[in-house]
Amino acid sequence: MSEKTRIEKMGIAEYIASSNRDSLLTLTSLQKIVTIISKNSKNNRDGKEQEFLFQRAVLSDRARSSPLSMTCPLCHEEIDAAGADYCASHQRAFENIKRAFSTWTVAYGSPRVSDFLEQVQKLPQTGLKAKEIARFLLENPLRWK
Amino acid sequence: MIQTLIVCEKPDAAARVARALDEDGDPRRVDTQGVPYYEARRRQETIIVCSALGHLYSIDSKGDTPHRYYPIWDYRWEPRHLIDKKSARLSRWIQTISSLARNADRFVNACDYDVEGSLIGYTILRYACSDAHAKAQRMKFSTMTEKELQTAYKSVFPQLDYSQVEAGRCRHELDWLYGINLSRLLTESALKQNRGYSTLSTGRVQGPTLKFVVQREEEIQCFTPTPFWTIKATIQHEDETYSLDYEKEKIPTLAEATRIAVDCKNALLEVANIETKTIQQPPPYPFDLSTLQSEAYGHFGYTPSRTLALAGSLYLDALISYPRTSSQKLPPDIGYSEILRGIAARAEYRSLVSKLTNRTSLRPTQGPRQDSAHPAIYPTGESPKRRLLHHEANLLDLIIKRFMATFAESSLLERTKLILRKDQHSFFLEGSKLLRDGWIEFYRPYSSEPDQKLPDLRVGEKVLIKKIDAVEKFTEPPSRYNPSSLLRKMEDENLGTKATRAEIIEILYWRGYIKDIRIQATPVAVKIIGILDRYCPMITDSGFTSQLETQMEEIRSGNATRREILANTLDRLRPVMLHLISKEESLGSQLAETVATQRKTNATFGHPCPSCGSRLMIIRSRTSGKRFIGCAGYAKGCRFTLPLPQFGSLTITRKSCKVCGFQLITARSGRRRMISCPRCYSNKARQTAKIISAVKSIRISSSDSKSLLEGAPLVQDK
Repeated sequence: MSEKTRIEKMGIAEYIASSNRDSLLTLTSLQKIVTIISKNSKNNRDGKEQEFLFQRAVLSDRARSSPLSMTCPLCHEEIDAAGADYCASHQRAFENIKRAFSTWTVAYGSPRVSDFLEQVQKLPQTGLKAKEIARFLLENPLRWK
Repeated sequence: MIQTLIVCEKPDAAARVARALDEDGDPRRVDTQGVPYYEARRRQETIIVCSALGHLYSIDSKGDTPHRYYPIWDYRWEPRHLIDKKSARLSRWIQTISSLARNADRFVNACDYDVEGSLIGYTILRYACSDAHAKAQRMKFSTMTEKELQTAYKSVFPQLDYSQVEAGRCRHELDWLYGINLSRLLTESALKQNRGYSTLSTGRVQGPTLKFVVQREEEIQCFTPTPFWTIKATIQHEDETYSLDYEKEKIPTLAEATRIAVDCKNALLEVANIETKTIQQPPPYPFDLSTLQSEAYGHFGYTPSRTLALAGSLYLDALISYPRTSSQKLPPDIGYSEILRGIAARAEYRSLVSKLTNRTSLRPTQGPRQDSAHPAIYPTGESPKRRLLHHEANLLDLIIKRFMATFAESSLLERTKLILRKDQHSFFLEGSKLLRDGWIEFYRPYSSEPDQKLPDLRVGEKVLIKKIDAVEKFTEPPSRYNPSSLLRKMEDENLGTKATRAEIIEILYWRGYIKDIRIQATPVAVKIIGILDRYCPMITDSGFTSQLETQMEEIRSGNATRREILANTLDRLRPVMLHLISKEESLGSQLAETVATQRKTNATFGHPCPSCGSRLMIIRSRTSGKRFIGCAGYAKGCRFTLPLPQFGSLTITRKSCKVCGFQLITARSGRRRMISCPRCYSNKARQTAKIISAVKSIRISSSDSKSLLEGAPLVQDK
């Protein structure tokens, strides 16, 4: 079943609700949703209802932490930079951690990511935001990409 | 008889000028409505010396603009008492000066010879003395000694230093336009969100300075350490243990560090080479203000603003030259020998001075920085007329010793490096010996003397490694700014002036944007800088502010006019303001949330409630309006409370009470600051209450007994 038919059959709100928290809504699928909404709003009364449901779903807590809402999953600040997964400061901390990992890899000879993150969390030199990112990555290993 | 009116910057300065210019050195002090001025006699002249109290005039918006309105582009100079209610007493000052000006034939500005001093004198002469600025003269001096004041009066400049006046006006007007518009916008946009009032400010210099702190904070917060290893090795020679440095300071991998440690364990190191170098250390430059502030912070821990205040009071006592200088040069006309003779009058410096005066010529080291208005800071050689405070004495000692050190010869240091080898591994042992004290002798205890002994080893000799370890270490985040290093950064980036930098840092503390001596940016500061960076990066751009500073220097040197610079700046500021106003709601919602969170954090104690373990907070009673410490567990039935001082603004410090361990609080009212422990205070108050009630009961019983036993001694009499 194509995405378009699924959305039409299920309704937008259910479609969003059924999508996994960690699965990303691609830009094309988002565009499709918007097109359908605009079509529906022209054609029938249900369209407005669906648009309302869509917006409510986007604004819900669950949607806030998903990339669709474009807010940082750690502090709920807006994400400014294109292609970033976190707010500016958490993104910087994330990049620092990634960079540090390559140095740790050379230093200790391929440590496990989880060991590295745990160790980083414990060190007193680690900054607060870097610690937050390390904790988040430990809880969400899929975010380590 | 001619009557001359001399305007000084401060009452102390006025007293000194009057004493120096009076024929008998004893001018008459007159007090009108609590405003002092002095009458001095000099040949056929009566000299009236009056003083300001800093700036008597300031900038305010033109017309009846509402207090919270923005943007404002029209302004005028007004008496400060009309702008700021706290400056009400200045109205008497202006009245007195105006009445004195009516009888004066000649006017002289004797305020400090810099941008601020020139402007203070100019505004007084123009507005309080009915445009007397046009015919006024200018006295220029760098010390408050009688001799220099008399010379300055004799060779008074025929007119005011208009280039400095214009530069000062431009600085004040620009600062006002920036400050009032941006600060009102920030404060009002947050206030409109109905989350409570909080003064938020930024400015032309404040914004970029705060950005340095915020940037450093971000670096620290996002820092991830990386590992490295160092080799810690020791050798023993003739019962002395020496630590060796490995050739590589940092070893990047564990494997390599372990290999080195294993290879060199119990190894015999051979002395491969001994390198000796003689280093000449030239004497330090004379003090300019920022170097003085930096040295005073390093040796005594005085903040830059405190150093400036202490130096100001030493200057007014004619003990040192004008401190607000950026010069590192001591011209010969200050009279080196005379100053040194004066210093020698104090026993503790006598022997040092004699060592200097025995030399054929006196020539100080000169630094690269220049200031057209004043020389570097130097002692006048006069002895203190009053007992100096401990901090003042410290600073004076530092200035005197630095002055003497600049005349001394270079010091000679011998650095020796022993190179010890084992196969491909090299270790170093470094030591140094002072061959000639030179200036270090004059600058003790403020000079560092690295004297490290080395073992008596020769090339080819072998020595056993006693202990060797590979020590795991992690990289450290960049260090936080302290008031002194932040001031240095401002100076490097050409932000503000030598006179205003310390004050800007104080304002950042006062506004709650930064805290602690190792400066930490608060969430509000991070938010404000984030918003300004996002919507108007120009405001926080140090390059732009520095460019303005350069332009103002150009006014001072006569290469630009105030009008040009004001017009150019307004052309850039106007669109920025309009853009910000269009984003007002978004700005406000972001700011209000952070402000509310910070307010809550600032009012919450880290120490839990001793009764129920909940959070303790500063609460204001709705009925009495009084504040106290209350427990967040009130709803659950906890009634724990502690009293608080009812004056000034309260801050919960990070320090704990040495007696009970409770968090200390600071109550600040004006310049008064009180640090106390609410819990000990409460216990003490209870004990005092008990004692008072006990005494009362005794008094009652004694008065009863008195009525019973006539003539019996009263308890309270005892």
